[in-house]
Amino acid sequence: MSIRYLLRRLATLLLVLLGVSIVAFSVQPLLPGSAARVRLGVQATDEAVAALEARMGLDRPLVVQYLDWAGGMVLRGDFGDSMVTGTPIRDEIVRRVPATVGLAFAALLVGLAIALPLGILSALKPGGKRDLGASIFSQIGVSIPDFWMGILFILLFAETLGWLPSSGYAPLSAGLGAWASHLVLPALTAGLISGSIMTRFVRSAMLEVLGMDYVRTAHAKGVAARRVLTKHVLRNAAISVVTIIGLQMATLLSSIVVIEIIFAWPGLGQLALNATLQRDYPVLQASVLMAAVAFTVVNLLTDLSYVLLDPSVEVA
Amino acid sequence: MATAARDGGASTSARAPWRDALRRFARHRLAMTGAGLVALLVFTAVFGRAVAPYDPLAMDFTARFAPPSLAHPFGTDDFGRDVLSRILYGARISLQVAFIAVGLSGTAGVALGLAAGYLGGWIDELVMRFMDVLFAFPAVLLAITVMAVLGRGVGNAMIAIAIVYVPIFARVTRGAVLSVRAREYVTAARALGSRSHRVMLGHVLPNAVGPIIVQTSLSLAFAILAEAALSFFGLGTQPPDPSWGRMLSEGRGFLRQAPWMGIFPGLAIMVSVLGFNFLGDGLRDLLDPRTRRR
Amino acid sequence: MTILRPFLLALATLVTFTVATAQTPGGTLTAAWSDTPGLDPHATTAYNSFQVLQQTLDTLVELDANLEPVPALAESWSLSDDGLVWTFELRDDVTFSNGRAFTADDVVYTYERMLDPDVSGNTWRLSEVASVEADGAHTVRFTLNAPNAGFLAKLGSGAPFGIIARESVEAGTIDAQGPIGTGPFVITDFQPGTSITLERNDAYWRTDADGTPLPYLDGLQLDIIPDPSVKRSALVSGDVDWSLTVPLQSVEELEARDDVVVDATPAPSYHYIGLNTEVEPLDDVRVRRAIAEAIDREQIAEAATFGTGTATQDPIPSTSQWAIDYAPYGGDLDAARALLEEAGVADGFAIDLMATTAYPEDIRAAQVIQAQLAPLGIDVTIDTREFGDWLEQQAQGTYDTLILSWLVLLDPDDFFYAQHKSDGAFNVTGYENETLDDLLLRGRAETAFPDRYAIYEQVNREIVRDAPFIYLYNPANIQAYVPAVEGYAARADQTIRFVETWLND
Repeated sequence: MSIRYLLRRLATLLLVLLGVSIVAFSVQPLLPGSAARVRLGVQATDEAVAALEARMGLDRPLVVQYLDWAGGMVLRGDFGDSMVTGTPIRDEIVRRVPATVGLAFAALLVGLAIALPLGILSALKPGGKRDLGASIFSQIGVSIPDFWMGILFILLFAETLGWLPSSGYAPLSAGLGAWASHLVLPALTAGLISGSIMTRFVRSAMLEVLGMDYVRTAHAKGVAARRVLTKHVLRNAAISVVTIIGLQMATLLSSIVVIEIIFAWPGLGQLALNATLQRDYPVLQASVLMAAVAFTVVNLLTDLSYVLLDPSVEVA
Repeated sequence: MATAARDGGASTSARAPWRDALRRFARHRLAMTGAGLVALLVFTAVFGRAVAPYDPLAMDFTARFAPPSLAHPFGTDDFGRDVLSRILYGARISLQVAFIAVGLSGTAGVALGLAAGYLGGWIDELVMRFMDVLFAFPAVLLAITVMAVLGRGVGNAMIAIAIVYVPIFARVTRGAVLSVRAREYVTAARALGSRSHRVMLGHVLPNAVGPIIVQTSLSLAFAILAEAALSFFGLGTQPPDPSWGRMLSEGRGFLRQAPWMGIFPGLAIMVSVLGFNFLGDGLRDLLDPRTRRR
Repeated sequence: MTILRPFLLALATLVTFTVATAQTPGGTLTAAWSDTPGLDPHATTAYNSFQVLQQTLDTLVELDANLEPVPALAESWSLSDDGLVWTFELRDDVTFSNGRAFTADDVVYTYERMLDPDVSGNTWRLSEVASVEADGAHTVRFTLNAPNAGFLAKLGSGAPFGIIARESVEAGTIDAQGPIGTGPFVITDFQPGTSITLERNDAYWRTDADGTPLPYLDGLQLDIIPDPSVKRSALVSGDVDWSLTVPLQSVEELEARDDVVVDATPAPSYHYIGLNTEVEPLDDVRVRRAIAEAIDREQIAEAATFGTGTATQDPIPSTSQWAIDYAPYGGDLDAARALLEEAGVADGFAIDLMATTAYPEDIRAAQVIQAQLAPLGIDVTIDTREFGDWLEQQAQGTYDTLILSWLVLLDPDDFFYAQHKSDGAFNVTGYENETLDDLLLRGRAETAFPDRYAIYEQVNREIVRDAPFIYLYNPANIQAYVPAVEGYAARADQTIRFVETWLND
């Protein structure tokens, strides 16, 4: 991988982040309804609303507001204060990132634990019974709305069986047991869905590799089937799987927004949704931006690891 | 770019694959099952209102939470409205949202992808970077934010869902165009002096159409789920209109008293999503030379 | 009424435990809570915030079960003969949770801050106050612009009027940690959208009858669980001890369980439709009356609240001493049609009904109203909006009709003045009535109960007849908890108090 390629990718990344920040910022002037009024509530007078708007600097030109906002973030790591609680947004984000990242990783693990065996099994004998079974499983997994699955899980595992807490989050500092027991249901919900999608990717990645010339050659040379599988096929399919994981983050992050709401999981998705509902646009801007930045960076890392793992990929 | 492979940025190989493809389609179990489910869905959307046993908005306070019976095969809801009739009516709403949203995003995405892939250069860079920007936002979050800006309602839900899927269509189209463009007949047409938009429409688009069709079918499935998710946040159709997503999200509050309020719309969503997914996957098998090899 | 039974039960328990049962101090109560927008009692106007602040702040007076003011931080009070000057004598044994003694200066500081429009969204709550002055360390004097019979009870109506110490404001910690108060608990950790942790205030000034220091509990753990059905699941599966609300449709099911106590009292609140009297054809009182006549409030209350609310045609709930129970509308569709014909809109018309997603029960009610008005040819479109957007439309008057509720109204003045006086702070319907304005001013000034009641009878009649608001039902205040929670009762003024609550396990 050449330095030039890296630099080019980084430049693109910065460009995209600039675009993302502009889109995120533009939410504020576009939103109907006044944030000041939401802050002051149903019983606020017009004068009080206008006064608060002036104090929040909402009467300045948009460009000035954008530069002030973006400058504060880049130079001082300052995202501003929440309009609803008045507390610094940075603290809020720092507090919530572990929850979202933890959930995303757990869900990804669940997803891989489902997708890898199912995808490999079904690709070994395409059209066979196992393939059909895996296919039915993954199709059903994809077609159930995520919020619906979450609610059914709460009813079953928390309420009826009483095995797991119904919702909420326990930080690692509260003990491994508490942390894990709260994590299981949301991770299972998000993981089942992303696992269903990934099963299909793994299957086709495997099929592709199985169809490659050197695998056929290996077979022809009489290498034992198991060895072909472990030595050649899986290793090569791994490259595709890394890509899939990167791509899967988009779907995963999206369904995590929904799942965080259902399970009262204090992550960035919940923060963003609450901010939308409360018209707390500094928070909305910051959380949407953070999600987008996270995704863009993951995407870059995937691309780079793809290049690293597979020297045959042309870096144009 | 690796992301182009997200949902099959595959290329078609044959020059006139249609007759051949139809024959293979008829023999492809998955595709046919999907087509059957989709046909059923479209039929329900068109004729469902005619065969619905009740007015879907008619409240009957003497028959609230009635379990499934001969009079109400899918039971009644918290206002005593007939769930079956609501599902039959809702088919059109849900399908309309999906088709229009995907139609919009398909049109915009394909146009952008064609321009980027065919013209290349700074246009490609500009368009695709903008797509990267849109793609960077988690889909649900983007849709919710768009809805917050535009306001609630079916129309705006369609626009929100459409915006979310534009980058995917653009990428798939661009990927397909790039692989087609490299081929000789396009180069030849260019050498002969055809104007670029004619080359694009006349040669590139028809040959890139396979992956786009596949993507359309898969996106329809996702659009139905997206409408359900927006309705879950109360952003989709306005009450009392019975979209399936709305019915499902209303039903979740009554899982104990009246599970049928949530189960039947949930099943309706599942079956439609399955239909579009089967169809899409089947089409991919048929149109994508890489998977056809087996 | 399913509500009355638990209400009476709750009253019975209340009486019993103060007499006999031995309380076990200690333990932390875990509660399912709703999202709390902010902790500055003057900046916020959110009811959810006040429910938290109720645990940390005290007021000068409090309201007893009959909503009568009783001493709290103030031991006694007096009113000047002209009805303008209220003088309060304060307790001298009270300290803030930071150890500093509570004095009259703190009362002055609190109310001056509350009346400062640069800080406060709550100035309207004390619009009748001209000045607040300290007279020595333990006497404070309020001077009013005009006599106000509801003033005393208002000072006791919960955390908006709670006394804070200036230290947290000056240190800039009020947003992140809440104000420093004299109340039974202290906020030790505030994680917006996730949880609020409170510990008992060891310096709290109250003791129980045996001299045991209050509160009994070591602390409160408030878990933010926005979704009501998930709140219910958390309670039923034992993750929390107590829940702020439960889904209304689950009340019956929860009442049948023996591992959950449903505690409900009629709430001093009402749900209503507001009609914009400045748009056609709603500017015609006959059209508004036709709508008021045509709707079936029993059905609306049933569908919206699953039998937990009480249908009503006027705002004051029948459990209040101020209840009037004026009900001129009979649900007669023909009479409604005749009114529409008189008004020249016999063929009907189309209107929007604006509801907010923040209150699903209002959206449910809206659907019933829509169905009920259809036979009159009135084509109602339900327009659901985010609360912020809803508020904006209301403020700008860009709506036809809207549906919402007014919560925690204690004095009859609370039910009418701000909403309907021509220059009322929240008169959003554009309704103007000079007779009514005059009555409202007299109602504030009058102190003798029978005369005051007579005035509000007239006020009530004017509003119900002119129908700028069409009243739908009075909701119930419903909480649910596990049986181990003792010494708690849902209160008529809707404040939540854990001062004498303990865990019996």
